[in-house]
Amino acid sequence: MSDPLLEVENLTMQYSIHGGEVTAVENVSFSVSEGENLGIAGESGSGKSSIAISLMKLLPENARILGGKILLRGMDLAALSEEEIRPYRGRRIAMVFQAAMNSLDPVYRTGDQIIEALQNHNQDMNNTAARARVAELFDLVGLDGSLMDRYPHQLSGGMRQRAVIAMALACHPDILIADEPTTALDVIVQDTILRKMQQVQERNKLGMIYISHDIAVISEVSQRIAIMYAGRIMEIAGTKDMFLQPRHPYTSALLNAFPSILGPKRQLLSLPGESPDLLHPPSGCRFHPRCPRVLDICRREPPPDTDYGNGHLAACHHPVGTDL
Amino acid sequence: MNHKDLVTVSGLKKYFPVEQGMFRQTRCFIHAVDGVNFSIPVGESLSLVGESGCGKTTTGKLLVKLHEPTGGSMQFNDGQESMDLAHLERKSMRSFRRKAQMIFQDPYESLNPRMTVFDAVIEPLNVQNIGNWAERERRVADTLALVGLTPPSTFLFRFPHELSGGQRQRVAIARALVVNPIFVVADEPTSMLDVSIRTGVMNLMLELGDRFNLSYLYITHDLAVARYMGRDLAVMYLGKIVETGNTEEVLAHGLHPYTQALLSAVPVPDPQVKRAAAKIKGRITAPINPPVRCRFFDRCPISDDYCLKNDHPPLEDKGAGHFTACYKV
Repeated sequence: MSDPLLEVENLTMQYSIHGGEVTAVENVSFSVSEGENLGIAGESGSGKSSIAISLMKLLPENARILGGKILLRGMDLAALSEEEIRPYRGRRIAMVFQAAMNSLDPVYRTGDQIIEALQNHNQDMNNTAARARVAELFDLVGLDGSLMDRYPHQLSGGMRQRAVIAMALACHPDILIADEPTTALDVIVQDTILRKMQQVQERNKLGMIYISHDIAVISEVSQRIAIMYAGRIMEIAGTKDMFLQPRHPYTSALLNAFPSILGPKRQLLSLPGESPDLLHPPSGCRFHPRCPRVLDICRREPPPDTDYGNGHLAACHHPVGTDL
Repeated sequence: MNHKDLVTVSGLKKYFPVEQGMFRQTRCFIHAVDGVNFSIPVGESLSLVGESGCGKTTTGKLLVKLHEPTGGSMQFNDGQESMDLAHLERKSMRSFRRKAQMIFQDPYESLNPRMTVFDAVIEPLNVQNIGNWAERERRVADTLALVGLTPPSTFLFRFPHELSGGQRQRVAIARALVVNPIFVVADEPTSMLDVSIRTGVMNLMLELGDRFNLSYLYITHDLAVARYMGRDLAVMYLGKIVETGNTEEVLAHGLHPYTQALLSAVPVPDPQVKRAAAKIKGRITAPINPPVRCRFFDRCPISDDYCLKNDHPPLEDKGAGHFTACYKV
């Protein structure tokens, strides 16, 4: 494997809300290499989008990064000020937001919004060159170049989504973060966009972080998967290892909760209980109140990561497939 | 008509007017549901799948009389009485509402934020005038326990904002089931829920279905969920059912090019499986005054002149109750 492009070390991020502090991301570490796609899977409130906005340093006012490093080719983004990070955002690290199709400004032509971004990062670029670049980008994501003169409302949801992906790719970023980029789309459109993104990623050797609640989508686009629960990474492994031998009971439960159209029809297993309230997180392992394999120690001590080789880590006192 | 069919729908149509111009003249119609036929046997469930805008929700609403059909017939026969839903009188309507209920997609919007769980669940009993006060109270508690909100006393006086998404959807299910219906239209009841919660709600619905011999019309965009929830499957495209039959049969041997495109576009939670790209172009459009030909013509990879010149193909029997509406297969 090549050198990691992005290394995240012990990232911790907190929101202050009415009633206290919520640690949405706690001691999270992972890395992404060139051309690699890392999937981050988890339920709503597990902290996956909070990781994304921390990496982009697009934090809302009530949020702050408490600790940890975000090393992009060795440079720590977490230590940079708002002014200092601006040249990197978009150019080195870019993001496609959740419901991105609604993130286009309705009063500007779609292409002009991308041109604005281009000229912002490159003052010397004239309009002709910028338009040529937009046409190139549109072609890359499978959109007709003539669509750049349309307003967002004249495009379908799938087209807008592609335009937003084109915008994210405009300044040749090294890393693309995609936060549920296809969630609101119909399955056939979703499929074509996923394929397009994979093509672009492979061609440009882009490092990618793909965030989704849908394990099925992630299993198709990502080479490695991190499973998040209540602000922590429970397990991280190569996609095949994760599916063949999940170690964390939560991973195992998630994999068993997805129906498939292939293979024999099987009974799905449901997890008891609800996602934890992060204002008052459970002691010890955050998953223990819902865990079928819970032990006494799980209630007291947060489990350390265990290394299963090949970059497969799981944080569990009583992993699947072991007896005590 | 089979007397064991609870619901029999034939030629069902619903057109919505599109108003335009200064005097809001009706210029054209959206053919949301355009000649749909299917039946649901007592105690069995039908999953209705399709992309957004295909008319699946409208079909569901027609069946519980939240829309008046433009044409066609809907027979409802529970063995005790037979009703023509297209022409229901006021009195029969009340008795029908006791037998047929609907569960909506979004539990954040389908519950009144000013009503407690108790008020929400007892309301159908008050409307239907079922039992006396004590009986109603008992029934509410029993139903809450049934849907897994236990102990009921801790939930009775909570408001929707004090509940999680999964709990709200359970309240919505309780509200539908408290009158002991035999037919339930469920419109994407789990699409707003998180994965670990979703499975619980689906399993609960299946379990209650078995226990009370319920028939579901389960509306979803997700083929995998459709497979899990319904013995039978109907695939809908622009107001028409293009393929229907036993779920396993249709998934294994889907004939219609649209069904095949859908099947190949569904992500599979198994990294060993590599899917082929869907052979389909374009996207779904609104069926405003659709031309007289196969609705799928513009996107079809195998269409030819014959499809262009003839009306939408009828559903043809391909054996073992598997029907497909396509001239080319």
